[in-house]
Amino acid sequence: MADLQERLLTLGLEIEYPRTPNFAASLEARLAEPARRERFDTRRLAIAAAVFIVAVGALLAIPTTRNAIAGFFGIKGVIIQRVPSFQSPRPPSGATVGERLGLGRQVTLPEAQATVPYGISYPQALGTPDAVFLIEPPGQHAVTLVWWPRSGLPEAGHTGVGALVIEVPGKVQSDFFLKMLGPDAALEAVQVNSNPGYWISGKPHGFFFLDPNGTPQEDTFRLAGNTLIWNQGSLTVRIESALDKDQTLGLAATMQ
Amino acid sequence: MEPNPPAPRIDSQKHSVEGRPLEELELVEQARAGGVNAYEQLVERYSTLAFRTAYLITGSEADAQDACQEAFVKAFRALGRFRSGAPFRPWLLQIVANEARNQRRGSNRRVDLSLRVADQLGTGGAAPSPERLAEATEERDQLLRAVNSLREEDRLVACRYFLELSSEETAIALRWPEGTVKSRLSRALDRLRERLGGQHG
Repeated sequence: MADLQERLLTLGLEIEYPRTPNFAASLEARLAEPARRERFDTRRLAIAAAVFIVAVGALLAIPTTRNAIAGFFGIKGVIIQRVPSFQSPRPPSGATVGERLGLGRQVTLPEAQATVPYGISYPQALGTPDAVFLIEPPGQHAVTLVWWPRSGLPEAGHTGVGALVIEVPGKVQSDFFLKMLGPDAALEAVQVNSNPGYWISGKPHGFFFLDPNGTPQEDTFRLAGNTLIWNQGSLTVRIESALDKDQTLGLAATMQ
Repeated sequence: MEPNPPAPRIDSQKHSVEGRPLEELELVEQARAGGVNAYEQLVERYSTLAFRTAYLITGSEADAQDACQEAFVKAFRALGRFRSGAPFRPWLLQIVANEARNQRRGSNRRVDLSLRVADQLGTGGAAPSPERLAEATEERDQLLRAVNSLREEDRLVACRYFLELSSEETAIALRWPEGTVKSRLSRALDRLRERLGGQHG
């Protein structure tokens, strides 16, 4: 048998693709149109959510996929999807924390603040972040603040990180709230600085959130450890660490 | 770990030492400055790759077309934030892939790729015997069925071969860390081998 990778490359040449439309021809007119954010209105979002729930329901009805999708729940603009196992990236040693965890490029705090259109805050109890990372559009702006492990702030897993605070713009959609808890749920609704939030412990998670356009976006928890996630103003904020719930809520209370 | 195969380009252009067409940098700079004509040339250049990317993700011609149209407009508007000198192709594919995944989300339709008809297969050299052709077609069908049956994450990363993307470009396009691309690719290949092994008894 020929090498599988070579066979896949060859197969790619033989796939039946539809004819590529002439995108360039209609481009000028489309570029002249105003931004099309109104496409993602609330009604459309609600329909998408309904379709999504039905799709998930259908998947849960199938025994082989039931285990793969333990459940979903939502916090305002955030949907969290729990899965029983998640392949944490095992990148080559020597990669920086930012590369290992997919945090974007390393910047200084003032640089990050000068770039993102929102105020960056962090738990004052942790002190100034040891490192700051930035992901920029075409996706979402995402700021990640990192604190290295130290006394009182143990390393989370084998990540080399004590705590992460990640701040991403997330649209508040109080009607976009899904709750489908699985049998081995390790999550709990909590109040974070008077905002509704969730405490998630014990298992790694992937999740979706809604960006300011109302478009669902996908993300993963970086440390696969304990996570506190909540909506603060226009942002979805999360703290990931090995700390317990009370300690993390204590940190969140010092956000500034 | 298996070595990465060479990544030939769908877009056969003259390349600079960094592997990008020499004039691309200039076009990108002009487009960043608002040059619609330059941007149209870039879109023209990457239309097929973008459309195929979207088609592999959505499995639907209409969805792939919508995703590309939306992505090309969004990319133009985001060009101001494009880092000068960065590779344009995976950056554009990232926007296309994101739009395509958004199109696909909410649909539980299975992506079911198919092959061009046998008499169009590029076998090269002398015409093969009907038996050999049937055998080759069956082998390809088996492989494609195995790819189609992969779970979404594995299928996406395996599509890297169809699009002839490097693992670095795949990482950018899917917004996964490169280490994740490599580990998922390795897993996807293992699963394909398992499935093909099963079919061959």
